[in-house]
Amino acid sequence: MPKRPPRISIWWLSAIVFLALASILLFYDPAEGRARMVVSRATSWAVGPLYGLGKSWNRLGARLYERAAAFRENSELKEINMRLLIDKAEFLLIQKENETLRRALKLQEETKQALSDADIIGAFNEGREEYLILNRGSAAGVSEGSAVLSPEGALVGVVRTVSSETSTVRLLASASEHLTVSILPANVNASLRGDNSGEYVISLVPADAPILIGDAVVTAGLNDNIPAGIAVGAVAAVGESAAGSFKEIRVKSPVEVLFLDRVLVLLGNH
Amino acid sequence: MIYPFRLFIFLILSALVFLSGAFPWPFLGFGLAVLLYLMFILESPLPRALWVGGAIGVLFDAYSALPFGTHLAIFAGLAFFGFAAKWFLSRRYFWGDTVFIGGGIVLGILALAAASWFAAGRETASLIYLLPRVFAAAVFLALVSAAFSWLGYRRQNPHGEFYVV
Repeated sequence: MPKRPPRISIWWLSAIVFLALASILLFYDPAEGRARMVVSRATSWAVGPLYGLGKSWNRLGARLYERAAAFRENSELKEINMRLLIDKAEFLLIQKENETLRRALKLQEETKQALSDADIIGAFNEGREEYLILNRGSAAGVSEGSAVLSPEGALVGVVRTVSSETSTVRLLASASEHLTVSILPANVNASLRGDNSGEYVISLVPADAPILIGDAVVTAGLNDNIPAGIAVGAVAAVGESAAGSFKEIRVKSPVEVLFLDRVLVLLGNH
Repeated sequence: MIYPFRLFIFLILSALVFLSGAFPWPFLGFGLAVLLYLMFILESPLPRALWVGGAIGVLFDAYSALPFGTHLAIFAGLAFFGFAAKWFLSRRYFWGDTVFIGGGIVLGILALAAASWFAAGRETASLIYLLPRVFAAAVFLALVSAAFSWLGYRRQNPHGEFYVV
């Protein structure tokens, strides 16, 4: 039987040699510097380029981190912006309501009539008649014939039907609405009727009356529940009737009904 | 089984990548080299493990600011730790390998952290910095090593439905 070669002893011998070398490196100071130099010289060709790659890798990671942070920040800012927008909308609504109420108070003092503010909750047309639906009705003191003003104080229409919680306003621009108005500064009284789209027509004004474009048109106070001196509009055009003895005047309302969302209702002398 | 030569190649590569500074967290790069070295130890006799560990240790020592020989001592210590573990474990199995590698990683990283702590003046503040990072790297790498071991030892259950170890 052949004898096995003593391989184990060679391996163990090499281990002992290793330990001896390691001991020298660990405990013999002059060997340290030289070993450091030899090893770094032998490996720097591989470590150097890899360091460049590692740096690029880390830069890439840092960039990704920055992007993620920017994305997070952007999301937070969007959320804050949305909250601010909601706050702004609420603020604007409150501001508008405040302005309306201030005007209502002023009008109340001027007209000596009670006022109620109302939101417009609907609108419809029936032929040439234009209507608004308000969220105030008889429970709030609104009655048929009550004058309805814009928040700025211009006459918009007249309440025509009332329920306990809602009321329907026929706009002054409707063909069926007639109102006695006074044209200032000529101080001429005449009858005004609606002509749709926020325009009115005044006919039967004497031809020699000194009416100019831009003259103010206010209520004359001759209609029930509608006090005198409420703004209606301004003269937009002055023409002559077919017979030539009267003037036909077109009046433009200052109120854009499309942008109206809140009105004031004159409740009468309560 | 992974051939020791392949493990040796991966070990050298991991050591070079560690030196390139590509690892973002402290102890992760060193821990990866330790993990591969422990896997190498499992497949190699002690003298070979000592020589390879010595080479890697000297490579790290050449660039490290720690006293020369620190890494060499750590790797040599791990070689003896592996020798003792293999003596203690009569056969290879999943949990034996996992516990050996996990424990070896903890030992290796802790030894390096201790050397850093000594070199930094043994301040408590540096311990507060080092220990959580040691723990995090060790846990992460132990899980990675467990996953590697599972890949090596997994087999299908008798019905061929899923893998067990």
